[in-house]
Amino acid sequence: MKGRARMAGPNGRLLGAVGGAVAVVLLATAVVDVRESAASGTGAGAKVILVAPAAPGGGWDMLARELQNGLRDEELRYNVQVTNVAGAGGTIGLRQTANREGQANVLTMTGLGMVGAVETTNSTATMDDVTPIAQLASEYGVVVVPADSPYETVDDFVQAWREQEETLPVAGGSMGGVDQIFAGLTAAEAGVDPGSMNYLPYSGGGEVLTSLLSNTSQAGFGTLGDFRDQLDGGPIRALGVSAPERIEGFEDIPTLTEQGYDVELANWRGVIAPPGLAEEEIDELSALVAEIVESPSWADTLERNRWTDTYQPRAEFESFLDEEIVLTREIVKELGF
Amino acid sequence: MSTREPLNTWLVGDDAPEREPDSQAQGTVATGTAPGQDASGAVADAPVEEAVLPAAAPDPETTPWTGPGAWVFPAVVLAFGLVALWGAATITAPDPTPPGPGFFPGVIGGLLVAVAVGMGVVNVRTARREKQALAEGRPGVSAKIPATEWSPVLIIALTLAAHIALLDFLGWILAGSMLFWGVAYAFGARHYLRDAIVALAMASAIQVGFSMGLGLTLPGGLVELIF
Amino acid sequence: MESLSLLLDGFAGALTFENLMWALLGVLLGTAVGVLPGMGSAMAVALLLPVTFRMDPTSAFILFAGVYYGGMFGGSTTSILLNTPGQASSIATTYEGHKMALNGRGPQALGTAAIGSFVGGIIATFLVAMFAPAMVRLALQFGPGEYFALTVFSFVAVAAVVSNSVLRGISSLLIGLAIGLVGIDSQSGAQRFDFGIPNMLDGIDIVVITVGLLALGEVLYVASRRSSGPDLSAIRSGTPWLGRRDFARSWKPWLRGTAMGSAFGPIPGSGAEIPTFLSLGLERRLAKRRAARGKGVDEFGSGAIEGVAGPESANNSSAAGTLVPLLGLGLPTSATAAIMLAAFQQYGMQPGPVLFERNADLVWTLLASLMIGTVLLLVINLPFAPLWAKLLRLPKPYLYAGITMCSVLAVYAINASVFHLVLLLLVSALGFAMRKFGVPVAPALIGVVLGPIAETELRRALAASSGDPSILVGSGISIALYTLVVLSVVVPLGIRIWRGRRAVQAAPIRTDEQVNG
Repeated sequence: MKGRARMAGPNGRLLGAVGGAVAVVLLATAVVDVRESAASGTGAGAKVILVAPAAPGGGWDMLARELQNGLRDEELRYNVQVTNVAGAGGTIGLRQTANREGQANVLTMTGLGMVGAVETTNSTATMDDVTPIAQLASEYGVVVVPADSPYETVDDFVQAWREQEETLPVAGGSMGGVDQIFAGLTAAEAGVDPGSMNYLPYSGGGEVLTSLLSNTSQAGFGTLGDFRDQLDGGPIRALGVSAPERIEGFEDIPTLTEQGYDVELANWRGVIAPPGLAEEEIDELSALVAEIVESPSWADTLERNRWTDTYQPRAEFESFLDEEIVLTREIVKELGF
Repeated sequence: MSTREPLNTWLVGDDAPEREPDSQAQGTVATGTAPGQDASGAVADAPVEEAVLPAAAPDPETTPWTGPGAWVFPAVVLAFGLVALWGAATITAPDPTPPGPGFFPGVIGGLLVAVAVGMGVVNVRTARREKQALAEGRPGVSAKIPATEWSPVLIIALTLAAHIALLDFLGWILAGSMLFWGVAYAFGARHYLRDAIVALAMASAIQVGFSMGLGLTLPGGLVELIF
Repeated sequence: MESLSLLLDGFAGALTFENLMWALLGVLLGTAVGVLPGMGSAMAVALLLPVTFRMDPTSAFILFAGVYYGGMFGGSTTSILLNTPGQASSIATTYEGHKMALNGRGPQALGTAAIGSFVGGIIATFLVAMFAPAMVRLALQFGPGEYFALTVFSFVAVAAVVSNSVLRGISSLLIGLAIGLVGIDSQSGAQRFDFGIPNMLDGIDIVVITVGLLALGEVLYVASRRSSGPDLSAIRSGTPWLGRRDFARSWKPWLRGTAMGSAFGPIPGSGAEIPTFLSLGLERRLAKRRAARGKGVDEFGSGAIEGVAGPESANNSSAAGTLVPLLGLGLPTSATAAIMLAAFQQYGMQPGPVLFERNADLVWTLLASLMIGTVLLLVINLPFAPLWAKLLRLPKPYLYAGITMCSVLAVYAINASVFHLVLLLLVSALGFAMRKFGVPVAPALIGVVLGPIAETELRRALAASSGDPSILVGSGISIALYTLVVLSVVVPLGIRIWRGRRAVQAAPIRTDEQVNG
């Protein structure tokens, strides 16, 4: 379109007229689009904005897109938009949500990672600044070692870990993230000082795997989803999971608790809404989430991503969140932040 | 440069003034820019050897800095270096393993400061030679950095700043059009109405493509309120 | 060969009319997204993911394959024409590509990029199909020590694009390294140079740097030389096609670039940019040697076609290479790969060591799809190259206004935040100053891209070994890489100094300011 009005030659007038017409059409379409995007219809036509506080490809992004898909599939909402607001462990997205005071059509993905990041980045926005809506699903943590590792049980590994407290390299996700919190909890339970363990942070579960397989680190901490495809006869073995009981489909992996280490940690994910909402607005959002969670397409989502259903409605989620914040604050302090 | 070097010299690079007059478009080129690029010469598939080129413009990368402006870039480099060193001294980590988070900033900061000093030394030497040359009645440093026309640069910078400041308020269509129009004006476009129509069309096209087509939100701003 | 017949079966499954339509859609969408700066292929794939929930696996794979390669290729178009690489892996193409465009050889640059992408994509995909398990084993030899050696090697290799003035080139590199330091330190979690701004915690996005230093910096610089600057619209594009000579000069770089990309692409974490830089460095070296022997011209610095052909084929073959860890280990090495992994899993595909046994049909279909996507990419893009190149013939005010608008949009798209635009303004000012004072911009970009990788891997290596530096030379791979570094830097430097001395004694041609600038 740029070139339309380029020439002022003999055909200039005609070209100008055509260019002008094109411009008018474009402008009209654009204005309609702006209007559409801003539209706040009613019922199933109402617009919903899902904020994923991470870049495409991560767990929060996935959750947001699954919700988007669910809302459309179940014909609950048609106009659903996913916005990625990546940065600082999710606290940029948290800050943005806190600033959307009074907007009743926004759901921001949250989770243990965000609770941890609030502490480790000294974020000025905290979970107190937003409205918790519901907890949706969890993934449990797992301790893995290379298949040829001498450690057969958590006890074997812990013994070596105690002996080489400050040198034994263990790998996991980024500093201050869920994996490090998991490693810290396990260390504390094993009698290793979480602050002095030799934790090698990687940017994701995949890289942790390479770290193990290239013999850079001796053990890896992550969520089951990161490693599940490599466990069954693959290059790594699982020593224990951080679930309260053995996980369906992975019954041969013992829990940490049954091996005598009281570590129960779920990388839970949920949704929060902006502050300053009226009680009925909160109820409406909660009802919407509740409806999805009960739908067949959500069952499919859980199955597909192998998330464990740990749905908690608002009241339950609020008290759970408070506990998690206290626990996280403690362990983050021990980790040395 | 010697044409018989067995391996090239990566680190040192080649010195343009000595480059063989080998191809079309010689006498360019600073990375990413095309200073001195003459539009007439260097046409694609013209017989290369016969392309008659006007005197090649000096390579700006080897043009020495003179006058007070000579100290601007060394100052920028020094500033970067000092900030890096300040960071190296103040960053604290929970558990610093041997090279802690301050190690790299320290090294980079130190090198930046050293490079800034080196640039200063070169400046002083250039100035001295220039003075000497003038005293002896010879021309000084032959190549100079071309003069800057500040007004278009300032217009663009201000347009950008205004665009950034008003983006959320005006919305993409209006703020984007303003940006397009302002930059076009800085580049000498003077058909105000036509420029405005093109600007509006461009901004609208982007709104349609990104928001409607790809689902990426652009701020609606005033337009949301008016329509 | 068994693999070969399985691959043919894959083609049989993938080659239906419907699937070709999906491939077409994917390629078009991918190219469009790649052309728009700031919209990576990760974004495009993420947007498509919900759509594919309802598609059958083959169609979905084909769609993804098209988007993936299309995005990789699309980035080269803006790099060449507008000097605006949309992603780190297109930076290497920019250096020579944009100069070619300024010389009126835009169509040739785009053409060699298109064919190079095709060659790289096809060969590398084929290698993946045949040798994935072996490639996985090799890739796993890379620990942090080897990795650090690779980055050192890359730094040295790309020093070729450093400048004519050593001091200015180094200052630019160091500024890039300094910018790369901003954000949370990944190894300790310490906050560095964030100046208390939460938005800075993740560092300065690479798009802000490339768009600011290259695109907007250039816009400002051209504006500052309104009367003396280049007039792009006056550039006459010559023949719109690759000539015989261009072909003759391109085919070897295509193959060499492909070799680089296939070799380093599968290494988890390396991303596509390292092979592109390595390829650029190699081509430049070879061009010099050829020129020295009198067997050709060394056009590097003024638009050498080899400098586009090599990096582009390296880029696409390395994109194919990232499929190795993805399929062989279930290990996504890029955001795009992570989303594709999620898509595979919804079809019950279980990437990992047993993938080729359990889901053979799906894997072969996927690989066949990738090849089909690559072919379509070439078919669609080659004819358009001359058309695209005409973009430069728009009136200068509109062209630069358009570039500015796209730049701003690209940066806004990162996070929908005005803060990034403010950063963009600052980086553009830096880019303008660098141009004005004749400081090369290329080394700064290399510093921003490679610096953080080098730092992370060095510190990770030392942490893993509890401070024992012998880990850095602990394997054959790292020793070999360091040997190459020594050979390629120290030896020529020594020769140069020795020759330089003799030259100075004989005839002092070089003056201080030319050397030190």
